[in-house]
Amino acid sequence: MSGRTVAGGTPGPVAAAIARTGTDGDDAVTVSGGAGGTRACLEALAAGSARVAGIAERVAAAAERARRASDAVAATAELAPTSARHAHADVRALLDGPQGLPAQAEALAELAASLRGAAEVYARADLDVAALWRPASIALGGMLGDLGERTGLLPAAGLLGFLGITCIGQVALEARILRYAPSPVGAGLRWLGNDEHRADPGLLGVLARMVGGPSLWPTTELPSPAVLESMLPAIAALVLGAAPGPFAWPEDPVAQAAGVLAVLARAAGMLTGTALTGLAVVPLLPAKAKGGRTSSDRPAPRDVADVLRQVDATYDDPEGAVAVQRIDREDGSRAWVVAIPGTQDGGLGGPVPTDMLTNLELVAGLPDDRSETVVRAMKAAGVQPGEPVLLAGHSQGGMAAMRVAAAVDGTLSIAGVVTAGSPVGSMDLPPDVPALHLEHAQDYVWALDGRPNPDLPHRTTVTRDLRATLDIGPVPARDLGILLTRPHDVADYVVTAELLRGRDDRSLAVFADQVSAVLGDAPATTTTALYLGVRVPDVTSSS
Amino acid sequence: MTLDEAVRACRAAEREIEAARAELAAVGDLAWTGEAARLFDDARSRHLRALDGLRVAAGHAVGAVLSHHVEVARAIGCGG
Repeated sequence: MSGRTVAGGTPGPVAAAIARTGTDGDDAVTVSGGAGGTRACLEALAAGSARVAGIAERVAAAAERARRASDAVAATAELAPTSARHAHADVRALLDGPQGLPAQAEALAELAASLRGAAEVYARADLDVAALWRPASIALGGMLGDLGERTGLLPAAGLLGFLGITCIGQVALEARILRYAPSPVGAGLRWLGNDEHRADPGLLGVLARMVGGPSLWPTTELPSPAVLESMLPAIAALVLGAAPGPFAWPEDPVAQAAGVLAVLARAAGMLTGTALTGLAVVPLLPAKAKGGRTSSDRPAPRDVADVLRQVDATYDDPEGAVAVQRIDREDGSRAWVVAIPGTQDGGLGGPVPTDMLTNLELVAGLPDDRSETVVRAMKAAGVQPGEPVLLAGHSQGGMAAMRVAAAVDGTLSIAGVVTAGSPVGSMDLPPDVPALHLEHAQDYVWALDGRPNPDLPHRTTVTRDLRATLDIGPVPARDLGILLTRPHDVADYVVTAELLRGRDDRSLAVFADQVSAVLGDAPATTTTALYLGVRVPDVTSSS
Repeated sequence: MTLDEAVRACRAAEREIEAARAELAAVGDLAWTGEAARLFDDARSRHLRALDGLRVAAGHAVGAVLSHHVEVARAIGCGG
């Protein structure tokens, strides 16, 4: 049931059984949310409980009618005893015994209560510690921020922390050198850093990995992205609290902090050079694509993995490009696939909109040039209302896809959204638009919004632990960059999508059906057009 | 309640049972698996079988009460 462990119990056999069943994750892939997710289950259980309760009332009403008919027969039994005996027996057959109407009504009412109890078991399972941690951490961060502004405690704490880390690093380095010394100290250090101790998950393991292992550098593992995700609201609240004025207790401090940074970046662009406040979206001629590839040679995708492969291909296109593929089927129907790559520029407000400024604006919920590029590209390509569109994006592209799906709701028919490694937990999506969010457990990017993806009936999140298949275990500290970048690789997200094919999971099966309805399996002609978004000065619109 | 009303009550009970059965059969996929789902499906199957039997029994009851109604009418000289 969506990789959740449920606990507790309420009256009723169904609820008790729910309390005993738990996770279904038997490998490196975990699925949550979606049509088979907890909330969907809650809604289905609540609806089922209400319906069964209604059925119980119907049966109870039938029992009451039969009872009154029985009384009427009994009252006239003296006038026609033989027929009364038969009638009485037939009516009592409706009322007596475990198969009678009253007993059935009672059993159905118990079944309804049991379903309701099962829903409550799930609801309790959702009230986990993480839900309580978020507001507490925001409050703590905000308070510390306010405190730091007045007392200078935070800079002092930061300095102490830096000195502490430096000292620890120095001690660790000295220990790693001394362990080679033919002395009792060296022998002790070699014993401390042996293989067995380094595998220890506790404090002993931390010390052992610091002084033991190959090479001069200690090996290390980064904390889980989930830890970063849970800490980010507190860090953002701390930053906001440290700003002049009292802490304002924002609902989403990460979005607010990103908004502040985005506004500052825009302001800095205006002060330091020509402000690129306009956006030009132009079709990209096939000859301009890198590698000599034309824009119309991309095969028709058949599933999510194929769609993500198209997203991967857009990284070979010029920076800022969006691929809009038209699928014309033999029956005359038409569908669209829009592939959106992620961040391609580390700047803030330069000509290429796939930059860090767009990331800040997307996280902050502010208008951004990337989403605008996609919307204009779709219109320029000829997407018509009623024609299903599948939006897919990697990293920033996934955020843009979510933003576009919400922006064109009611005008264009977004049939699905696929995101890979995108921080979209804070982004809303119309309830009639299904979404599949792919995340790698070691990828930090999806955690940067500081909020887990909501487990909604129309939003399915797949988390894959890459340690099962990729060699990304502890590495020398100098190679930490590998741990930061490799799990975010779009090619690995394609592999993750391939792993989902034919998987026995209701949420995935429902989403796969929805994607198939868009892509179809009949022969089709595809035409892919590339559109380039470029920030320009003083241009309000262009396509 | 008169016997005429009793006949109508039995017919109404028959319709209620039929409606309840159809409603129970239509309770959709509750999107779960495992032991809880099996327990629910078992309970629903039992109730559906019971309601099938009750629907037939209600039909018999309608006929039997109607026959009694006719006999009583004859007894009091109102029928023939």
